Amino acid sequence: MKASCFVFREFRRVEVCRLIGVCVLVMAEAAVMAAPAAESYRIEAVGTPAGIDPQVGALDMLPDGRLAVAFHRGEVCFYDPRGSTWSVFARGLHEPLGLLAVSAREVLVMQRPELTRLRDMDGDGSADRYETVWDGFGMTGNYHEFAYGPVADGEGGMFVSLNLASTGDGVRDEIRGPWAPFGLRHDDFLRDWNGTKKRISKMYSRVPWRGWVMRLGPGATTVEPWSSGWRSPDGLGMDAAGRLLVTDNQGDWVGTSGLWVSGKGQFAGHPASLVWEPGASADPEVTDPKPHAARRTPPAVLFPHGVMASSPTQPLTDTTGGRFGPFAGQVLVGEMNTPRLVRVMLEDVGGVAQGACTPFLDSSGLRAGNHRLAWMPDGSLMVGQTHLAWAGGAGLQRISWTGQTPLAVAGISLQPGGFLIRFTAPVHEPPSAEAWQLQRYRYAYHADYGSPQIDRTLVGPSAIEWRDGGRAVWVGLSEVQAGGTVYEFTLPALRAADGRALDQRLLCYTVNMRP
Amino acid sequence: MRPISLRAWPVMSLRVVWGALGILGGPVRAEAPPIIIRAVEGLRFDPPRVRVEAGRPLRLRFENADTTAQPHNLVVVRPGTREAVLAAALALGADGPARGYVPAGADVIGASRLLAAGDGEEVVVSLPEEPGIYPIVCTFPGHGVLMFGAIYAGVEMPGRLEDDAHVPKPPPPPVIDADSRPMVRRMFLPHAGPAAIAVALPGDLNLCWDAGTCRLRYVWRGGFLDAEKHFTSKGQSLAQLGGPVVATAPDVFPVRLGGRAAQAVRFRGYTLENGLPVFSYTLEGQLVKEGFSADNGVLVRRFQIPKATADVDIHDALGPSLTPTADRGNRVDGMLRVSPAEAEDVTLRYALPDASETGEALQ
Repeated sequence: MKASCFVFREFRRVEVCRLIGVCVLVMAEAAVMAAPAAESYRIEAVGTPAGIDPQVGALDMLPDGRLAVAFHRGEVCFYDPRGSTWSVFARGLHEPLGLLAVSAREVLVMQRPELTRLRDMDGDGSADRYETVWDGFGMTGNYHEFAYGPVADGEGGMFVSLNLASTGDGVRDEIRGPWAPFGLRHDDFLRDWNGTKKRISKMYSRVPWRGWVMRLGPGATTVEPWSSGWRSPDGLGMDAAGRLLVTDNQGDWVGTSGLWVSGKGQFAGHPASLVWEPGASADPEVTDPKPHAARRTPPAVLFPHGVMASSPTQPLTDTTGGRFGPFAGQVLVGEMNTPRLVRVMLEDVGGVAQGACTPFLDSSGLRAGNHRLAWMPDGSLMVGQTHLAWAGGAGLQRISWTGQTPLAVAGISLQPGGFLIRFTAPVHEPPSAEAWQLQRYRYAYHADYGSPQIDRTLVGPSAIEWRDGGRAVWVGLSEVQAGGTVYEFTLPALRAADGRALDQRLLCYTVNMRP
Repeated sequence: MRPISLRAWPVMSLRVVWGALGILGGPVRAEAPPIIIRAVEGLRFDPPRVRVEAGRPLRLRFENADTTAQPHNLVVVRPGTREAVLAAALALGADGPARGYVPAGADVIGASRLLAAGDGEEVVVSLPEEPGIYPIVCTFPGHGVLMFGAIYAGVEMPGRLEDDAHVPKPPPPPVIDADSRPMVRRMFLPHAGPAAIAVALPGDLNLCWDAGTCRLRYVWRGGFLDAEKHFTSKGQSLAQLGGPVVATAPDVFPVRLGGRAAQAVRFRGYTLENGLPVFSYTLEGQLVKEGFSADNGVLVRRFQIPKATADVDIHDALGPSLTPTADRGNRVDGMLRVSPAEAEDVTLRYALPDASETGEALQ
């Protein structure tokens, strides 16, 4: 691409009035959108051990109140919040991206090549046994083949997930596991990479179970494929109802990032993984969405790209029973690209999981790169950040609720004819219908990398009714579109009687099913 | 100096104009070459800071040399406004991509387009007259927290990067992992499968264990590993060995039970005994433990095969003249044969060549 030359004149000499107008609008927007939550939440940095690359791959609490942390260059350390001290439990792991702590002497860790049980047999505080729990999945040596989990399923089993490979690089000549039985062969990848990568999907699955969530049974003696169609399922968690939550990242076949409630046997959308489906008989179609659209389970909640989150990570349900503020039972999701978390409110409509997302602690002192989350025993939230070679941050921050409830959306429910939005406190002097901004759009399901917002339409509410003394508002709509339509609210600048401003005005609800 | 609007002109025309003005003795002084600033992996500008005169047009050439294929821009802003510009860039939201993530406003005094990796662009910035430290920053979402630097215009820079608050802290020195032997590190290693384990033994011996195939692959002398590129790139790089390979295991599975080739090999992990690894695997359910250490430059390899039900043959040579001494068993057909009782614990000792004795080292 030939370089072109820009000569920039000083902006103050050109179209000054229009630019000032835009500036004021942008600054005002920024001031309103990023209302600091300093009164409700306190954010403190947590120092990481000297000499250790502070990018956090995984977090989990130990039963004794210490925090287990896995770092990018392969260490697993224990942090004691009481004395702010660190100890090294294990070293030499390969890109650990998930931890499940059993005790201070036993920790499960998922690294690139396997799920490992670290055990301290002699009680000296460091692991001396690195047991291979499960390595029954393929590796081509491609850089994008990350492995995630484990997450306890509440029934003695565990979920793990496996990233697809990326055409950003090829495969090695020595691989682990059998090559895919259909489609282009290993030899094609080695001899003619440039030709091959034009004929396959941008992210690919040529060795077993890449692009799948797998479930290990109790004792990890059995393993079963759980769900397919994943691209980069970095975030695994369980919701309040005991269902598996999975996030996936915008990319090929993923129009925008999303949060799925993933049931057994479901297909999330990326067809590359289907080559490993029991009974598969051919290479899956990777250019035409038609064979796959009908069987795809869409995400419960979409994260509009560049607006809400662009690289979501771990979903963590608020199980603090109110010690972290008014969002008990809701789901917090990490986000890499912007300095915020995302708060998700799920509901079931007609048996289908869907709901809304809104930023949490946006631009309030939280870094970017929010990758892993864990509840501390006192109900505070530990956040671990990373960037690897993408946008992000590094280190740990701890978020505590000050006890002051923010004015925030407490919940949103899709009902026949519109939405009912509830707030954490009564809204004072609520504004009229004109102050409501609402638009809807959807994303395409196709092989392309990401999707623009399609059929973006301004929506005028047919009714705005404040109820319950200002604690709830009914937003009536003459029609509600389903099929994965996002309804993006820019809520008015609401205030409580004591002057508290609404913490976040951006609220996006994904309609999969109408009631 | 009267600025010239050249927005629609390609580079060649620009060069002709600048050249012509030079010949004509026009208002443009003799051209210094542009200052090159590159975007590199790890979300950094290289160099992160430059020193120029104030009040003159600054010719920059911005190149995206990031091997991790991220897009970047270079935005020059007024002193002290980096954070405000980043906030404004974030607030662009869905309009960000169309604007190359460059916000409007007087704080921005120059900006490149958003460049893909491999792309480059010349940016001319009219620096204001007053000397100052003009931050440069990449406003692609999430980058600016780490990816910034400064143009020192008519102002002295602190001598060391570590002392300069206007550039990011320099990256820590590479961790070679060689200082505390013994050490075990799982890593992408050359000439092995993707599930490889590097072991640094006491002294200067190191080995590669292939967990996918459950066997020793090769031994090298000298430093342990340089995995810095692997850690700082997207992970596609293999670690580099810290010295030449002095022995390579033959391409056969080394343990044969009852005279038959190994079937159903499964890796079980490893234990650390004083930091030294003992690898465990099963052959059709028969457990085998294979541990390594070093003793004054001699590679020590210990097999423990409990309750074997037949003789065990170990293909133990690591090359035509690298047959170890064994503390039990007999040589049969070039292999070491041990009885089930002997197989409970048998130790092999290899005198490996110095680095200088090796032929062409594996790269």
